[in-house]
Amino acid sequence: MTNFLQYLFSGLTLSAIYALMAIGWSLAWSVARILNLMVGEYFVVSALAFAALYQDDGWPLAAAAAAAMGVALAAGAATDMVLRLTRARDIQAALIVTLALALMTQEASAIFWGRDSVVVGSYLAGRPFEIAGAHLSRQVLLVVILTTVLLAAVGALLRWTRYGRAMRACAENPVGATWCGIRPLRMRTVTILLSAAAAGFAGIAFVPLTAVSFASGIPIAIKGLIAAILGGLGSTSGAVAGALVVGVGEAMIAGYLTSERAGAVLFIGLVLLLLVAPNGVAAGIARRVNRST
Amino acid sequence: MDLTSVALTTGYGRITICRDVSLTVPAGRLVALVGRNGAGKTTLLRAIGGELQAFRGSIYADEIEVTRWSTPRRIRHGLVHVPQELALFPGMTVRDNLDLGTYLVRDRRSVDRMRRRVYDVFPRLAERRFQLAGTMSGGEQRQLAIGRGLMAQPKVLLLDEPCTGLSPIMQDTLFDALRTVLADGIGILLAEQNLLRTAQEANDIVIIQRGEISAIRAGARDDAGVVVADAAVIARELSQLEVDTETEVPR
Repeated sequence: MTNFLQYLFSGLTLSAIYALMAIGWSLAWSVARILNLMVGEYFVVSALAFAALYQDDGWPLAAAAAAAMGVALAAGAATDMVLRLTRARDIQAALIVTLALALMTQEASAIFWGRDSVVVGSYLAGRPFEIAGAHLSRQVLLVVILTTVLLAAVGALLRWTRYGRAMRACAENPVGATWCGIRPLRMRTVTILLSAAAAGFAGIAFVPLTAVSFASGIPIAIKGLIAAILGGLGSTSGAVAGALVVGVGEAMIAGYLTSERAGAVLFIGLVLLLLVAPNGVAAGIARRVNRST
Repeated sequence: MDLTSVALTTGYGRITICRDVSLTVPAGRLVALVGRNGAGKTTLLRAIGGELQAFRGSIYADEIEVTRWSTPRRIRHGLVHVPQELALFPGMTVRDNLDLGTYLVRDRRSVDRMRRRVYDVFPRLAERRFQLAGTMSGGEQRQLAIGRGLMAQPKVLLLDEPCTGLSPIMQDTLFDALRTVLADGIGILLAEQNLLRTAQEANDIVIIQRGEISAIRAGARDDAGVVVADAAVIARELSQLEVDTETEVPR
């Protein structure tokens, strides 16, 4: 029981990171029909910038966090600009452009912040909570709560605001959206900045919990993509559910089976799952629910 | 607002579809474009709505030239296009669809008033406001598309064959609604294939053949919307005009 809880807590931490990645994938896919490989890099640049400023240069927490967020948003703005300049509107072009950008960002990060992994000391002091023998650190609790709030805020934005409505409209029918005066390319910009903000937050929140290096971006982005696909790419709540499955699943596999091969087991599981439900698990469930009502 | 096109020539890529189209839609009047499939009615509406570039000629909203304006800018200025293909968002509610029509409306307070107005015009939409647009009948979806156009607070409404797929009773309802829109001083440019219906409802009828205006006739209604002529007679004349030129030897 103690072990199970411990794995669950570390699984929740992973889930939160993957959810913040998955939401970026999912939004870019649904609003602009592109896949943006830069989501992992927003995470990395924000984490590394935060580590350098907060830990090495001794900036106050809030200032370092704001600056790191600024770096992530700048990376998002750069992604958008390059996508516009290269007129990359379809998925292949966008994948190639964002892959190139991701590799360039990696090298730039290595030059700028070095090639070593960094971990920031937990910025929440205090003893961890003990629940049935398992330890839950205050840092983990804080970031999981913050992530939940952030994801809820994104959901609310999509549901109730003018921009959110316009983004959903682009997702449903981009041509129809132009007839309402919506510019789909501008919505793509909003989407990319939103995903940069989510990933940037992830970088700041999780660099005290996981080691981050210049090369962490793509692997973590891919896990987020798996979560997004599991949730039926395009659905935000599905992305969060998918992230829970991937994160907790990874922690359980690492805990009970093999810690070295956790990634491989996860990928095999994904392939098997997609054989059963090619449109993602959430979409499959939704279809079944619709059929029964 | 009066909409005027002067010698407007437009098309797709290098292919010219509409040539030298000059027409005026005065405020509060219903001007109908009639012509066969492929005559260029939709192309013309797209060019006026801003989705297609004008090759030559100009478009004016009152005295302001809008020929090079983007679609969003034209919408903000009151030039709103309701296309023929249903441009709705099927997975969103009726209310969300309507509110999307107000995307560019700066005065957010007027949105509620406008929504009430649209619900007055189309009571069916009020009943179904929390239903997903894609689950409604074709006629209701047409009403929603036009309602969404109205939400943008147009001064001129461009309607592309709004009667397609509607029963005669639904068409009556639709035109009753459009007459209240006209009474508000909104001009309507309507593309239509049903000659009798057009003759019955329009103030002016513009006949388009192979992308050019071949004739302009008065409709059965006067400025006040009162029927002053026999629509059947006008429709017969229109059909003859059309037949005559369609059998002509192409130039």
